[in-house]
Amino acid sequence: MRKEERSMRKNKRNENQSGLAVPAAWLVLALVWPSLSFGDEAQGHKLAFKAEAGAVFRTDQNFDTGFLYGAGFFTLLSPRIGLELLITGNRAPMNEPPAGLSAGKLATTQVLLSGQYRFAKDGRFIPYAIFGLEFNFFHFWPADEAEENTADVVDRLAPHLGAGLDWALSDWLTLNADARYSIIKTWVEDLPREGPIGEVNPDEVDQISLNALTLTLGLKFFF
Amino acid sequence: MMRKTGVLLFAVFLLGFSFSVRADEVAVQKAPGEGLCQAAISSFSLVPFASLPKPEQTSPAAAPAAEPVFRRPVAAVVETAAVNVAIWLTGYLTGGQQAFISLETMNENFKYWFEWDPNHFRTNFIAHPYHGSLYFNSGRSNGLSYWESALCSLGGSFMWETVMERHRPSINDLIMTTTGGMFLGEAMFRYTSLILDDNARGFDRVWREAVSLLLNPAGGLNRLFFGGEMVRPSGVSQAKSPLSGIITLGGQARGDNPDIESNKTGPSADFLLVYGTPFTGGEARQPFDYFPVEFTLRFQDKAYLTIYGYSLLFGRELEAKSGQNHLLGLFQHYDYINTEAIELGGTSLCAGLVSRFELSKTTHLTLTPQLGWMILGVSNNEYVVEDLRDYNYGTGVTAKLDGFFNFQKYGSVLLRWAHYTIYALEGAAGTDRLNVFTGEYRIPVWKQVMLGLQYQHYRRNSDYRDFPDVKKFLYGLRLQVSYGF
Repeated sequence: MRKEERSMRKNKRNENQSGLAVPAAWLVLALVWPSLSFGDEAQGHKLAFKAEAGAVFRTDQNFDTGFLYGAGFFTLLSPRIGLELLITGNRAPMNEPPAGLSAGKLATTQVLLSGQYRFAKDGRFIPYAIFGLEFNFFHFWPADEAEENTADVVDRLAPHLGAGLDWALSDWLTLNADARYSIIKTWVEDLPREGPIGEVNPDEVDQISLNALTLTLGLKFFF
Repeated sequence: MMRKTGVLLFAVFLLGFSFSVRADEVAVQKAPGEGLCQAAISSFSLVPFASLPKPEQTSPAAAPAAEPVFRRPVAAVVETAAVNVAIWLTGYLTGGQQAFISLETMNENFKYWFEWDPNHFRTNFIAHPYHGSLYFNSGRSNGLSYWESALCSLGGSFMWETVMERHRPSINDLIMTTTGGMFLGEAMFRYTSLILDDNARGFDRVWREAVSLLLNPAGGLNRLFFGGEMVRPSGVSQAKSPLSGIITLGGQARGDNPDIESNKTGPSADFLLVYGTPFTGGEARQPFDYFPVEFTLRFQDKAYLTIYGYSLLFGRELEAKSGQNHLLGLFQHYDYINTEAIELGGTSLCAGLVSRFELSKTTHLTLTPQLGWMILGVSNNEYVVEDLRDYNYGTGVTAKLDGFFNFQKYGSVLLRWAHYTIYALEGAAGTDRLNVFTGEYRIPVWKQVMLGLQYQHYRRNSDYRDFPDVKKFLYGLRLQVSYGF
């Protein structure tokens, strides 16, 4: 009796496994098959629309992890050099707000211009290095939305560097994974601003570091 | 003794030969560039006896700098912007307060527009021209012409001033980065063209590339990026023109009163480089086919640097009698004078004449009068104290006269007068007038080694509308030993 039960359970498990395996196999095939037919014609595509999503990890422990999403365009300037223009957004809660800010969330909109050095001219998998600049537009959201915002984080142009991997699924579709590290130094200012921000000497204010590691998965649609 | 006499006779023979060949005969009888070196040495007023020409210097290898056959304007623009990003990034990562920028600071810069900045004298008149030379050579080493590369200097400087610094853009930086960058940039481009040799191999190649990279980073990096294209036979590295010069070491005494015991003394080093020749027999010229530059470094309680140079932008040789040569041209000047009592920096555009007269078989005179517009100049000022700045900004007149007598084996005499009138545009309202006189005698003692004595006199007369006038002077006496090449 026990043997029969065991046998039945095993068969059922096998059925379940085969039931999962089939769609998984189809998914893998759907992803891989086009890439098997990846041909030279794909090299003709120079411009792509890119969408990505991921997470932002600030090195300052007072900031929690934030969800990031974004979109933009990618172009190949040469077989080895790529250029990317992205707009991303994220909002991260603050565990311990920096001096001048109350509890709340810090929203960041980034406009990134990145260059890519691609380590292979063609192929299904192309790793690349990233270097670029990003405009960071910060906006502080108090936890109590009724509260008047009397301080904010100053916007900053900052550099970033990183690495990524392109996986060509077809001649028009590429899956990519990026890791970017941004070096952001800025400060908290009182609102309303009294004079031009360019006249504030950064050496005379308490600077904060908003360095961040961004991990994203994205898709590039070539056209 | 016999050897020395032989060398001198050979030099006299070569000099005599070069003078005896008229300009039009050079064009007919010689290949382009042949014999230019003697002409450069014997005609340039800053080069005294110097430079007894060596046999190899007179080889026909010398030819005017050729324009490269490749052109990469997009790369030039991208590299110009990359220079700015690289310098900004260095400042940002090292905590430089000017590097804290954002879209807001950029908007403010366009809103408030240009002003005169309060930076240190050497920042505005050494660092900014060097910065401009990087832009310039981003263009030049990508195959653009001198004037096209000047646009790189202008565009790069405009980008830096308006968007890459949190400070408001400054008009003086825009002018000095552009014009100074054109001067230093083309000078470095020409010097590195002489150093680079695509036929060199091994260590010989390594040191040439390394030195060129140091002098002209944009050009050196382009050789790394586009190495394959840079080695074309008609490429940059094949552009050769004669170069002569003098290295001088000496001990100098300086003072501002007749009491000689109160004078301060210290060592000094002087590098004079003369690229090209003013007289080419009517051949077509490019800007900077002829330019002399003199760098003087003096040490006392601190180091003092002086740069005195000009370049031919456009020129035409005039018909002349036998034994005479005349070049009429438009010259760009770059002056940086840093002394204990007098500081002057500026860039000028002057009309000038280079004339050489053969007074006798053994005596030649070269006269170089120049007069023009000082586009931007500064003079130190007791009444302007703003941040790091202690000088007036202005514009005005530059006038120079060089007279050089070459007595062959009996030595040479140089008499040089430079005058600058600067009308204040910003600072203490008034006029600064500066005069610099140099008198020098050099005599050859052994091969290309010379002994000499130099006297310099600086005088500044400043008349101010709202402050008491200032009159200052400084003189210096230098005993020196020189080596000409």
